[in-house]
Amino acid sequence: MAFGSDAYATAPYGAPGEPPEIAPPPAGLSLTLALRVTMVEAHDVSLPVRVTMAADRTIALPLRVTMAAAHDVSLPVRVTMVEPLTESPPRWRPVVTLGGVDVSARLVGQIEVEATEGEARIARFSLAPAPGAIVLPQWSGQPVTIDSAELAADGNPINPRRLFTGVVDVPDYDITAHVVTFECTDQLQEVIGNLPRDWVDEHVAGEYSPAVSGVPADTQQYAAARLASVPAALDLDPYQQPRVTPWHSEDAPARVFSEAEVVDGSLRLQLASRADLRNEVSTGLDYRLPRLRARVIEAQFERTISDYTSQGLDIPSRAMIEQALSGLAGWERIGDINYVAVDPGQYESVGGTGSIFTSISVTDAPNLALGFAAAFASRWVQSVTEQYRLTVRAQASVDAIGYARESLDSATLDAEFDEAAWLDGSAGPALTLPPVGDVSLDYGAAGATDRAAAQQAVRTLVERARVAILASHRTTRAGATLAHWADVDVGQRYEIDTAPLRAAGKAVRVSHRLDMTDGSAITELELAVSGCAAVGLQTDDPADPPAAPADPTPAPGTAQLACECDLYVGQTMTSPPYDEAVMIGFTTNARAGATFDALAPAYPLALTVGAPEIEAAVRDPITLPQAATYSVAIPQDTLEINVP
Amino acid sequence: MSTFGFFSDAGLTTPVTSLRKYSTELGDKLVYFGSPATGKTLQDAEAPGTDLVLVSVVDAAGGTGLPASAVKLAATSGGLATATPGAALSLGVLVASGTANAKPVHVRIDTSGGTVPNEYTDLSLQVQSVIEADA
Repeated sequence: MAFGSDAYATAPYGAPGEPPEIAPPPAGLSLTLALRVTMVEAHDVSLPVRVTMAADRTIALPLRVTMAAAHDVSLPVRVTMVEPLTESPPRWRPVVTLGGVDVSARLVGQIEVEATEGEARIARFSLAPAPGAIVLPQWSGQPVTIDSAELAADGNPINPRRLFTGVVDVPDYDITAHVVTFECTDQLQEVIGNLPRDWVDEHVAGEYSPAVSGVPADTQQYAAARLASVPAALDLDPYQQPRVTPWHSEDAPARVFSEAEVVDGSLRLQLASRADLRNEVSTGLDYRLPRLRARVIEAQFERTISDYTSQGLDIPSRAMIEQALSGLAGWERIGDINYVAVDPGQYESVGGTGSIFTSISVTDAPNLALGFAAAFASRWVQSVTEQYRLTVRAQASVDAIGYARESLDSATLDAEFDEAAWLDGSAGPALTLPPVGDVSLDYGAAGATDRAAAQQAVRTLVERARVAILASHRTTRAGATLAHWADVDVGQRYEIDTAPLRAAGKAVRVSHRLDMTDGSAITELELAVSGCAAVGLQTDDPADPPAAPADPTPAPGTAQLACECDLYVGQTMTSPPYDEAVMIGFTTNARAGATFDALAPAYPLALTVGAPEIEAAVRDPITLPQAATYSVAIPQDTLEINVP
Repeated sequence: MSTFGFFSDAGLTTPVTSLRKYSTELGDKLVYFGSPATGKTLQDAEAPGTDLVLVSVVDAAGGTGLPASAVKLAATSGGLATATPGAALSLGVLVASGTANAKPVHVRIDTSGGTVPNEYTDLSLQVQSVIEADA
């Protein structure tokens, strides 16, 4: 479509690039306004609605109700009263149970029970099994009891006396003889291993120190560690109960065996070999600990105003002082610097060359100081080794046979300490600093490596040495074969009283042999006889640890507690050449005064402060020996030999 | 059936059905109370969590046999010396199962009041009126 007829109308209205408002059409012309209509496709606007259909649901909390009936847990106690033996029973009968079943009727051959001090009790017996298949392994570990009973007139066993309680270790079948032989043990190690440690603490007692014994892995090792310091034996009684029996007792023997009760020709005596005796045992403890040290020193310098003004000296500035006091290597300033104030004013000093005037303004005075005082602290750790040399001696034995020496292993107790953490202040312990002087603290981790732990280690070592001496002096053995005494055991002290031999001591080996074949029953007894050729009383010292060695380092002198800071004046008649190494302090120059000499060596205006060195005696590692000697008395058991 | 009982070892592997004491026997007895099962607890039946679980010495024949006072109980060997004869031993308000929770029971039996020869079976150790439940 065209619009108009002249030039204006040459372009259709509404064409691109020709907007109608640029140039209005000439007057008188009609104007037609074209309408541009854009046709847009119709559309819908929608909001989707999602509806989820859910099934009905119940929220439940399950309750579990357990109906438990009240009940009792019961352990019957059975107490058997046994009549004490007054004589070896003329008629006896062994009562043996295997796996809780009385197998006495099938016993054959010999029943042996052997108890040795400090060792597992062992037993051996044989059975003729009933005809039929047997399963040997099923007997291993089965509980075994062996009693020796008197035989009553009616043939029934009465007054059973326990010889052995334990388990089958090895069952062995003799195919030819159709006999099963049972090797049994009382399980000493297992029983001791199962004991609570408080039992060991109470019954074994003795001394214990991890520094000496190490850290035990189980109760058995713990018991062994304690037992090493106790003259006693730990083993099981015939009922498999643990017991501790002392090597020596002043009590009367449990029984005295006379000639009538000893089998003829069975007396035995084996004297201790001198090579086995020990009468001086040495041991030791190295207790290494950090000695935490601190020292407080003073830096002090002061002169009067006339000291300065009489020669026209510079007065130190506070900035100079602060800088000098901040550079003390290894020392930390504690507290503030105390300045000696300068009063502003005009100062006149009369010298050899007339009056000298010094003017100090109100503005300058606060920045100057006639002197100063400050305190500094330093701390360090000195490694200390307390070297305890411990000697335990049985002088009576030494007098009798001369020295028989032995050295036991020494122990080391090391108090570990984080020195770096302490020095940088991130870990304790804190030291309380004195105003001036030294303070020190021996560090030991509480309960582990502290002083008490070191003393406990010493006690343990001394008691171990004592036990070593006592053990070597009880190696004499006296023995005899007796008619069967079922109640003779290694836990007791006995005496053999015969014409050729009289000996007393604790039983260290007892062997019961009951023979089902010939009806014989014997008990072999071996005693440990303690003693030496002692004359008179012997002393027995307690294992008290010696006092800790004193700190041998002398108290610091004045020179160790004071910083060096003096006044050095140049350009005087007596001024030596400047020497930086020697002239520690305030260096300045005279400008007037009687001794002023402009040609004399001049010094730089400077202030230096020299801190004292920590002396080697308190700084370097140190070893402090401490010796102690303890006496031990050897128990004297009866030992008499008579040659007919 | 309760999994709790008396055992001869701290590992709770060997149940003890009877505590035997001979007058010639010198030492004390040690048994352990507990359960080798896992996830079990034992509490007093009347007031669980409040009343104590007790090991008591029960005399089934008062006036004859040995008296309950012939027996001392203690949780430690050293405690026997000061234990009151015949008094019960507390195991706490709850005993959990497992070997770590085994309770040692030290027993000292005084046979001096018995006559020889004889055998007494009137005494027993009892944990009375308890309920076992899952932990």
